[in-house]
Amino acid sequence: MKKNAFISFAAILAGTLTVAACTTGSQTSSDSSGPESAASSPTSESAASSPTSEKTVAISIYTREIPYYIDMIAGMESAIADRGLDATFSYANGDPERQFSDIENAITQAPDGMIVAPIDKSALIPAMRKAVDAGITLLTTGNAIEEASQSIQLAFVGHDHVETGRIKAQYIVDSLDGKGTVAMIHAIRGLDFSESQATGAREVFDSYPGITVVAEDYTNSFSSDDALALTQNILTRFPKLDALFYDNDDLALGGVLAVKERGLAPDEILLIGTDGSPAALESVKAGDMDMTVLLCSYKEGVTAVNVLADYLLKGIKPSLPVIRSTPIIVTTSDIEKIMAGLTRNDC
Amino acid sequence: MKLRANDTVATQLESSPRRTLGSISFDQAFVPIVVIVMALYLCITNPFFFTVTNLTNLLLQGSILAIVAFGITFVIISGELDLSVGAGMALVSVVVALTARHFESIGIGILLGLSIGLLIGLINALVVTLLEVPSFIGTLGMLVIAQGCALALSQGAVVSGLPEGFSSLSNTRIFGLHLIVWLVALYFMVLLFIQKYTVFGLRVFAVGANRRASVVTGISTRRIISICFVISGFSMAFAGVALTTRVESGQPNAGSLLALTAVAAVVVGGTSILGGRGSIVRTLWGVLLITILENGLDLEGIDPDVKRIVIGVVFILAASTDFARRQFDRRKHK
Repeated sequence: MKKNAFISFAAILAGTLTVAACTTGSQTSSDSSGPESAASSPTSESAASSPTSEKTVAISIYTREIPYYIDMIAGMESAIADRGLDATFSYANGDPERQFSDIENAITQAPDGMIVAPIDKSALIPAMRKAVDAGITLLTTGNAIEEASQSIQLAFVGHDHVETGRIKAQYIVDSLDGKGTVAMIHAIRGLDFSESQATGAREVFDSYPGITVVAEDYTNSFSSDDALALTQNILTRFPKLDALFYDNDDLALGGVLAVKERGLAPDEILLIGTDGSPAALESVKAGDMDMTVLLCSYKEGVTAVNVLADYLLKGIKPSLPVIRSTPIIVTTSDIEKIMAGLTRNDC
Repeated sequence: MKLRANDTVATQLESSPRRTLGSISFDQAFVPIVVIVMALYLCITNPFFFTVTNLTNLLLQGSILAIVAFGITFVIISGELDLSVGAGMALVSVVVALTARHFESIGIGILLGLSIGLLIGLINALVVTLLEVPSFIGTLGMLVIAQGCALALSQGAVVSGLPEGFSSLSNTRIFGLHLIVWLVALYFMVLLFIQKYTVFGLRVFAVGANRRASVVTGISTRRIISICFVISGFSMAFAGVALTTRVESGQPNAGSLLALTAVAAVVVGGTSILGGRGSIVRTLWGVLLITILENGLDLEGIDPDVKRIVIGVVFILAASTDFARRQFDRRKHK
């Protein structure tokens, strides 16, 4: 019996140590990006002079499993330290109901401000209204909420993913001189990031009669392996495909492998993604990927915190209710020039 | 009464009116028939299906699911469940990629990855057998821990920049087939041997069919269940290494649905989710069914939303053969 108890204790200890080891790894990495980012952001530098506030902020992020949000969180952490805010984060792992509960739980702690990166444009509106009714200043980022409810928030900081879809589709159209076949591979059905890009891209492709979207499918993950399998099957059906459109870079990197496996030369097929992950930038440099869109989400996180902090600490409202992040397009031909002196944190 | 480590063992332990292995029963033949009919249909209707390229892809696409499903078959037959395989595979993938990159050695990366998988299996075993936590909850907890570790270690991003060897490893072919396909075939043979011709294999069925009876007959159920979880842990590690080699990167977000798909492959193949009955051969048919179905639907260009509905319907139909078999047996005995 004693032996069993000892082994049980050892099992719990081993589990705890595993978690502790992981947490330590995470913290170290997070810390290492902090000072660099603070130094690279002029807004943060100016804010660093007044870290005297006791203002509290609740931050609800719908997932931390996508590079876009990982960078955004790092940016937020850096700006929070600079502005002397007291912030608590919650992550919903892609579950709308959980994010709803996260926001409700945050309201009970009565923070001064709240930043929400919502899962979609409408699911969290009732919870956000509760927060505003409780006197909490609300700012959204990442995905925009529906227009009818935007008046409840201080501001939205982020991209227009429909526009990102348009930009990417237009690049394909221009590269193919308005004639060719395209396959679109999206990530998760129903996810605003995926659906908005699809809407924007379809809009552009539909306006060019010479362009045919021969296949459109979802991997239902952000995994390169799933994208590799799906691309293989699409290339089996359409061996003469002219372009592959991916929602993000992790998927596009799976596509690169499928194209290589098929023995296609990089200039035989256009392949584009979004995010500007380090691996994708290397792939664009090598010519395996033709183009990616840097979303600069680190900077977006910094901006979101600073806009809210300006209001909470100084009463300064943003001049516009929607503060758009600017995507940066990099292609194989101009990546060296664009990325010269540009870090991932300041884009 | 001599026990044999196959479907009939559970039959003898449960004393239920089932057929012996000598004759192929309806439920044993059902999934293979569905797979063959589906493959024939695709051969006839789709010009791309029966091509060397697609068949090679098909085997590659089913490899990771097969590895994980083979391992999980032992856990399910023992009457338990392992939900941590997908997240465990992602963690192994990240660990392999990070260490291989750090030490510039594929060997160290793979060795450490395999160790992590075995460790996860061992912790699962201890949690289920010694702490007596239901395996559903215990392995769900491990799923969350492994997911958190994979994300923390990789900062949520794909781990790239691996040593060149990974690329050559994934492209190695023997008699036209990728190395990984041969390794999966070898793994299948080894596990089949363990299941059919070892005392352990026999006891897994006994433990899953009637745990109390197993204890009375002197079987250490804890030891048997623990070994099943360690086999599953090794399988997730093997799958993690295969994944890293295949996509030449560490994938923290991979395998989110893998555990459920693997359980589906096992159950659809005909192994009872309640334990005590099934076989790794059935799992192979389950894996083939899912892989050919997904590949076929992609090749047919079915709408993505309809595709999901079709997959769900096929899962239910294939798994309902157990019900059909019971009805058949009842009528026969009336």
